[in-house]
Amino acid sequence: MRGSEQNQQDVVVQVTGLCKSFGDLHVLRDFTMDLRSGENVVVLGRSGSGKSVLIKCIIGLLQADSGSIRVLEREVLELDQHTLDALRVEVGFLFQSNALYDSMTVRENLEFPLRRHMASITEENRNERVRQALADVGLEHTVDMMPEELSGGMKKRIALARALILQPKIILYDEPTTGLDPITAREINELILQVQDRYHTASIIISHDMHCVRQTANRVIVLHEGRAHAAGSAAELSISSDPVVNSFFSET
Amino acid sequence: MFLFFLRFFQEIKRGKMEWAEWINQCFYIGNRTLLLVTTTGFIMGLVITIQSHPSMAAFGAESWLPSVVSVSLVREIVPVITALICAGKIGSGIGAEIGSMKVTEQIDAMEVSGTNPYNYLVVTRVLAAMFMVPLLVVFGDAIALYGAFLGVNMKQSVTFSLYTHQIFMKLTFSDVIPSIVKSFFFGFAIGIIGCFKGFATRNGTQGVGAAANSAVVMATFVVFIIDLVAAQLADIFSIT
Repeated sequence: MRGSEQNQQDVVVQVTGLCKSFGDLHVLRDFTMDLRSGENVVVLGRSGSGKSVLIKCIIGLLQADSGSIRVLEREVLELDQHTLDALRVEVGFLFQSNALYDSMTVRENLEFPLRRHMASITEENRNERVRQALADVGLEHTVDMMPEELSGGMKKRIALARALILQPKIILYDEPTTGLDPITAREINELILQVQDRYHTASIIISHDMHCVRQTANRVIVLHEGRAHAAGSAAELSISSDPVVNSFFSET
Repeated sequence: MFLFFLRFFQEIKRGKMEWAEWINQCFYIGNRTLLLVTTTGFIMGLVITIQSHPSMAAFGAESWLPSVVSVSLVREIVPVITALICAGKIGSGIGAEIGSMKVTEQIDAMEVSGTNPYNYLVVTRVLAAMFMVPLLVVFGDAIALYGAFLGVNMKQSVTFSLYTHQIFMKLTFSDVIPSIVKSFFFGFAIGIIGCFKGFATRNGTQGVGAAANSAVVMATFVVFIIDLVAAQLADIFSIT
């Protein structure tokens, strides 16, 4: 009983019966999952299966049709804008396209969330946070560069630094290795593990890259036809006889 | 479009202004259009004077040239030309910038970092356009009147002090104020249409080009509509 309560307390994201449709296209149907403190959960699914829609619903960028999304014990679907903004400080988001502000330098990109949520900190403190976030991703020398001067892998790291700068408890990664070469993709995967290890963040990683799954996942959820079709560790799922699960794991 | 328009006033009512971004946008608008407004204002002043001279001379009313030209420049030509320049430069710029931010998820990134993108992007740009377009019109008026002075001096010899005296004999506040008021609305239309088209961008980079293009076309059209309404209102309230 105590163990069950402990588990419940550890849950930082609880998605229950989530449904989301776009017109006649039912993307998520009764989707249920949870994320516990300090773990990496990879949501695996085919392109267009609704993986990105799921994390956009979790952060409140998309409004779910029905169901429940509890993040850090707050029901996202019932939050007003002010409370949702406050919750977003505790949830970092790494966009598939990186979404760096291309009219701002790397420093300005990183300072943007700081100036909004930690307006009272000193200039010195702000600079130190920027330096630390860039040091975490190994790109301190890019501080005054523009996003257009960076390679794809560097942009991904800077985007991760920006997601980390407010020291969130949860990070949502949207296809973190898509479009990167295998070496850079491996480096990003290692960075995800370093972030988990150093800051004890809980992460939901959206991916269809099996190397990313094997390298970063503590737990894998297979999203198929809008539902959580299967769940388990990568090792467990790789020996599954389920044809849907097998179609992912047999390729590598 | 109506809801987008309505939200602008709701955000204004909330009163959370991003002043730093507003100043940036004012600078950006001024910086992008000043040279064009100067050049076109000067040329319009000069050309209108040169073209009006023969007709005025035929009636022996050359001495009226500064007054007649200044009224048409200040009331109609400079505000409309400046607004059209701003629709082209600023409207397309805003449409393309916000459209590009939309398709590259930068607006979503802003939202997840707890910033209201409408307040940060739309309110600042629209208010900057509402502030800068009237300023540019006043500046354009001054340049156009100087162009007209040179135009007058090409055919006759008039001192600058006599020229300004003749202008201000005819030009009154009822000429200047309506032109500034309508340029305020020109600025609003250019800003809100650019932002709306940017936010409505779909279909990737192709959509960004379409957003910039339709922002210019729609803003240009609305500038003429506002000008027509302003002329009618001025006529109704006898500000002629």
